[in-house]
Amino acid sequence: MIFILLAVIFFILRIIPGDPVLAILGGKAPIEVIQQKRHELGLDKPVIVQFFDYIRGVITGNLGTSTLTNRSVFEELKDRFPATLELTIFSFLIVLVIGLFWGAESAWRKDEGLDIVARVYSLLLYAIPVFWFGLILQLIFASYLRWLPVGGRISAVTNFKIVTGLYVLDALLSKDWRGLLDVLRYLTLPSITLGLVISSVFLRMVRNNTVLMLSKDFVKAARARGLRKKIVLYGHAVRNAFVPIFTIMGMEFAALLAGAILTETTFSWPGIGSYLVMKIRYRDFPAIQGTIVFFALFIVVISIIIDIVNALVDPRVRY
Amino acid sequence: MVKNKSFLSERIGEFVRDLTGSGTGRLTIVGSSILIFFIVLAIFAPYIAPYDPTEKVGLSLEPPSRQFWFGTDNLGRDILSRVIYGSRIALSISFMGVAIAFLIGVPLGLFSGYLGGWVDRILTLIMDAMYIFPGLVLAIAIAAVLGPGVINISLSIAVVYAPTYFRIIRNQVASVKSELYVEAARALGAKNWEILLKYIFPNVLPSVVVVLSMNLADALMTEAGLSFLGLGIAPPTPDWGFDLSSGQRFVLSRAWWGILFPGLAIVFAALGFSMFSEGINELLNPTIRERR
Amino acid sequence: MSYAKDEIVLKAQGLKIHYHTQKGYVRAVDGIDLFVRKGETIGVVGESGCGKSTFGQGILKLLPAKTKYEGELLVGTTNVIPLDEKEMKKVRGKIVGMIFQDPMTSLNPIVKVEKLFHETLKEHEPNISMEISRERTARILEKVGIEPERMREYPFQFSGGMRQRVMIALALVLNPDIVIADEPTTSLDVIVQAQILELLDELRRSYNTSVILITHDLGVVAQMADRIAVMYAGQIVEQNIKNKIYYQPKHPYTKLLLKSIPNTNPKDLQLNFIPGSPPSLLDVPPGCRFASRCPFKMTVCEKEPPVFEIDEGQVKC
Repeated sequence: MIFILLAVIFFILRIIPGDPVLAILGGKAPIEVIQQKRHELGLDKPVIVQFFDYIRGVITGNLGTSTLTNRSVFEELKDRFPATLELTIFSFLIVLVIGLFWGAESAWRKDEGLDIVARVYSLLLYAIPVFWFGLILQLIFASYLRWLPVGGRISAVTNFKIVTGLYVLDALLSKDWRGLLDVLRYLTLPSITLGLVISSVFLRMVRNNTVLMLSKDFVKAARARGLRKKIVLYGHAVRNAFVPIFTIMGMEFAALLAGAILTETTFSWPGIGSYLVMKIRYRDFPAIQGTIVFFALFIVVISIIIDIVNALVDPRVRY
Repeated sequence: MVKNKSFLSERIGEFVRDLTGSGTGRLTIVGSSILIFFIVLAIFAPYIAPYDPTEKVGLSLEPPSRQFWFGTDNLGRDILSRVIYGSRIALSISFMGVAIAFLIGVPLGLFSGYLGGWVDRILTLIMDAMYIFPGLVLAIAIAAVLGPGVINISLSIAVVYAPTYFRIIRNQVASVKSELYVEAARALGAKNWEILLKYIFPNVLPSVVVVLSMNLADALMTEAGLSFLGLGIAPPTPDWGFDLSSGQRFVLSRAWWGILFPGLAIVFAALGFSMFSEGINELLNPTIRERR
Repeated sequence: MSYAKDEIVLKAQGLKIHYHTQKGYVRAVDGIDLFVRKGETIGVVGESGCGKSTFGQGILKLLPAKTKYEGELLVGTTNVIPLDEKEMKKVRGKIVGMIFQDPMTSLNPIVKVEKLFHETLKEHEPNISMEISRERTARILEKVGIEPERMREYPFQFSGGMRQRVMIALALVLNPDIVIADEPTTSLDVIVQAQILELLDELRRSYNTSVILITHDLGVVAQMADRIAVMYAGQIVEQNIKNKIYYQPKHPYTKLLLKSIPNTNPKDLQLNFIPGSPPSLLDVPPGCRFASRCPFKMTVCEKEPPVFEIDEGQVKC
């Protein structure tokens, strides 16, 4: 599966017309320079050889060298990955909290006010582009109210030891409370933006699946034993609802990544998403290819993790 | 359970339920009216828009006024006109992109599902790989290589959605293929392509129609995203996503009109497509209705 | 609650349970009088749709929130009709237990059996520890014929009959005064059916619990029941001790019901059935509800029949 994915990426980036060398050098460079560059980039080798170099590179962790900065693409990605990870984690937390609790309570109080608002919320937010939502939030909170910063990840004055690259964690480790507050301020708008938009889908899924579960006999039987609502709803209905939800979670994660690219661009968040966009602007093909490969691998890893968690949640899978 | 509160919320509930009403077809009506509204805007843009969207007609970043209902952007262009003309790009790319996806995905799916064997397996593997990849990333990659331009962007979008059609068609074909009536037809001497067209295709079409309308909404958002990132249509063609990205630079100057209006256009168009598709979905699949 | 022998543990008087549906107003239970004594088994028999299941679930108020209850329903000395959810929770499981029809769907398949027991016990005895729950679970599982080690397994690993035993154990683990068994054997095959019924009877005797056995099958109540109430279209048309019902049925419906039980007599090859179908509970006809299908119909049946007390039982005819 991974292999196919990589192959697809490779071929798509090559089959499609557009000469990377010309893009880098411009159309007017002399022939020798073009050929020289070609040779440098290994583009004059036969395609099959290029392909194997590519695969070998991926396996050994060599994703190529950026034509722009001449650094290893892998290194550059490594630098920027924690930012995206942090954003993704916090957004996901928001998705989880909103989706789970609101979804479950809406299912319990089906067709009442809370539920109606939930369904409208899901419908509306789905149609709102995440970057526009981000811009609006920026307008309100950064521009008009001036409560939160408009972009970036950390202010110039804050300085704590970077250990993991996850600033929240690093601030905690250094016990730099001001720094922690600072970093959290920067994290707020981007994660709310991404989190709220993605939560609309999750909320809908949780709500619909929980409604389905609540109509099942075992829920009635649980109530007949006098169990309280919290246990019936979360311990039985929602827990069983998660089984079908998990299979869809994988796809939602892909959406999260796409959203991350847009969110990072909107908030100048220095992660892999904005990195990709920047590289595209500069036509840095090795970097582009490398980043997309990285995305692909990331998705595969997450799918595997989701499969594992699925087995934990649904014991029937194990036996 | 709360008795008094629920009366009001029941009323609201009924209203929304009617609006998103199962089986009443109202969703489709609202959705299609929005759609038609935008189509009209796109077609008759030159007659509706007050100004040329690419020309500087006022001072830059003027707030909304009588003269410029939506204000002007940083180059002094009328935003209302740009929003109206923007519908052209938005709709044409979405429609074209999805159409191309359909034209690529469906025949491949028919072909693959019917033939089976290793051809089917390889094609399916490739399509699956592309399917799980986040749409936007794929589109970005392709757009990056192809460059700007209406055709190119439509192609990028098409590549993203083609696997969807491929999968649906292919799975349907594969399952229908073993149905008795196909065997019967073959026994009677019908040729392969005849079987494909007459029996398999009509059965498979309804599910495709629903997906089609859902993809339109998605495609619209993807296109807007691409333009926002600077990978879409080249300026000075008016495009909602692009306008938003220019608007972004002036967030701190509080030029809210540059952000609100193009964004609202995207939201409404996407809503229109979604409602339309939900409505069609309910009409075509009466079994999948909300539990009352 | 502790009862003296023969004291009444449940009493329904003029009980009505109605609810609105999309199609109209359903009078599922329309005025029934019933009582249950300590330790006895009452069979509630009737065709599908006669309201018996509604009655069973209604005792624990498990029906949808907008259901209307009228009349009196005494569990012990408390009238449960005005109780709210919070107070009902104390009744459910602890004072009245319930066994459901389909064991495949009435146990959460992905929660370990021991957890099902532990959460039930903990709800009513908040300070109970896991070890003590396990002990009590083990004991009751043994009583229903399941190896205690199996409590660490998941319900989806059990067969239908075993799951029903778990269900029974769950209903009894808090030692309730009453157990409602709603069609407990309908989803099971015949041999397992007999086993489960025997088990139920045995447990009833050893715990001295009262059982309300709801079923459509007169054969099921034949063994276990002390008294039987026959329901039709939301009302009880006849109640009496078991033998009188079987051997001296008074109500025409009861008589026809008994006749329609298929028997294994090779000489009697004809399947007797009662022509027509029961009235929809949406649209209840005035007067005697069975009149349209009754072979003994008289003009007086156009009026609502009174309840006669005859021969240790009641008949509504």
